[in-house]
Amino acid sequence: MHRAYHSLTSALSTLRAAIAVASAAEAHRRPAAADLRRLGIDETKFAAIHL
Amino acid sequence: MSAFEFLMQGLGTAADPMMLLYALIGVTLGTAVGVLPGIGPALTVALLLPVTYRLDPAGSLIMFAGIYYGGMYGGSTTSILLNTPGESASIITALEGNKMARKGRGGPALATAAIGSFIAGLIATLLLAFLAPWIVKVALVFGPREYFALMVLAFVTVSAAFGDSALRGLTSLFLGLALACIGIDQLTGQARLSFGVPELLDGIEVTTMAVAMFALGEALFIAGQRLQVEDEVTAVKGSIWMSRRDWARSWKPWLRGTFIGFPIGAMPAGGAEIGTFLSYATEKKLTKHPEEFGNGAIEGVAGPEAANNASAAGTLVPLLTLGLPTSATAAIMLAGFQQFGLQPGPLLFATNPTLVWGLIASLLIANAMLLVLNLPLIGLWVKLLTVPKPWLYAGILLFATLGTIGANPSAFELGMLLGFGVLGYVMRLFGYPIAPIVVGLILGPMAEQQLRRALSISQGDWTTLVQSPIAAVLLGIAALALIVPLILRARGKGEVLSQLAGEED
Repeated sequence: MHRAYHSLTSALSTLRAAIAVASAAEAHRRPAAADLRRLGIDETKFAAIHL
Repeated sequence: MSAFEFLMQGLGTAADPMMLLYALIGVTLGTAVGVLPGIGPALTVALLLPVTYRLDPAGSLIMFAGIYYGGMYGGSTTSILLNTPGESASIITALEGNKMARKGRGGPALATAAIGSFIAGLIATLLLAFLAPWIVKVALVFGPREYFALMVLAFVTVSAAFGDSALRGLTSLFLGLALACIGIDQLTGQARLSFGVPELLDGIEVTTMAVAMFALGEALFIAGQRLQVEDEVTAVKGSIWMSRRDWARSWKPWLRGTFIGFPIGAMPAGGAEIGTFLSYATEKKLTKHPEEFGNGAIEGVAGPEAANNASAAGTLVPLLTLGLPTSATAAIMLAGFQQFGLQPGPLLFATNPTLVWGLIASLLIANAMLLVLNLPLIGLWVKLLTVPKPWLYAGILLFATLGTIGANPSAFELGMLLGFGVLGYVMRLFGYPIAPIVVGLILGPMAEQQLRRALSISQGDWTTLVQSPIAAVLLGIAALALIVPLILRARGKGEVLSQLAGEED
């Protein structure tokens, strides 16, 4: 039960991070470092992309 | 008839030489706008709306869908070769794709993106074809209150659930809903919010609004950013073909990307980008080569590129079956349907099956065209980047103005185009999302009509809205879609704050 809850919250957090990064990128803004980390994206490498 | 038979019939319609030509124009334009940074499919479809006003409805819609698919294909080219995503759904492709190109593996990166896009587009279009009749069957039992609940759900998800501020999203939505009230009331014949201006009695033209918000507003915003990007195209060295090892490492990400992107695209306001980021996170978790991520891992290109194409097909599921736009491009396509007097939804499948199935089948053909167009003509697409940016923005403004004047020749319409264009620019500048205002304008009158119909049937009893189980469930989901993201956002802020505190310690 605890494991299922943990998986669900982890999946929701990843989804939230993906939504946050997507909306920031679409508005040509730099996404939050914590959201990028959650998605396994290196912050400095992401910053090198010409948004 | 079964979905398969309808699809075969649709293929017959889509194979008509004129339809093939429309599809070819659509995918070519789509690839071009995908390649050009700053111009996306939403802007292009918006620009073409007034121009296609007098063309064949089926052909125009096939062209719009081709642009949407083409945009998803073309975006990867500049991501990989230039580290500049052609459109937002290809941002994550740049992360691994450009590293691959710098290592001399640009060919396999472009190939895995194109083949992955093709496979995802194929599977997702088939999923769309076989899922749509089921959803239509369910939607056919919908009455006014169910439709109203569905639209409330669409309003909430488009404005509040996604994006970083529910307040900004809702502000944009209510602006759209207010604009939708302008004109003559369909039920009573009273003029509303027209302020004695005769031109406002017909209401705000959705086409003008879409062109102003997405074409003018976006062009002004991009031009105003003065981005100084060093356009250094990484040359494609060596073979463009994938090795056996590349194939072995790509096929699973293609499939996973498809099954992540498709439902995300069908989710209201999901947007293709979200699927690409989730696909990247999944591939990074599952990879056997974690050391390559960030340095040119082929899985990081294959998965997200499949996800963004699957997402485009996913977007068409709610659009065609329920008349619900879940992305900016879908909202403009809905305006496209409406300009031909067509209302997407379950009834369209019954009243105009040739058009709907022709459109779905044409996606399969467009997908094959894109594979042929993209890989061999890569040099030609890259050359597009040499077009000076000021020419591009001036061209968009000119084309948008001429198109609107052509469809509605009046100085008032031109004034509205420019006014809304500036509004679109200001909204972008202050971080207000654009899709909710357009969705509010398009769906607002429909939601109002269904609400008033439901209340007429119940003789003014508001509780009727929650007495139908389907409507109650839909309104419940809408409430959750409003509340859960607020909690998640608060939790996210909490996480960031605690991390910051940890770093300070």
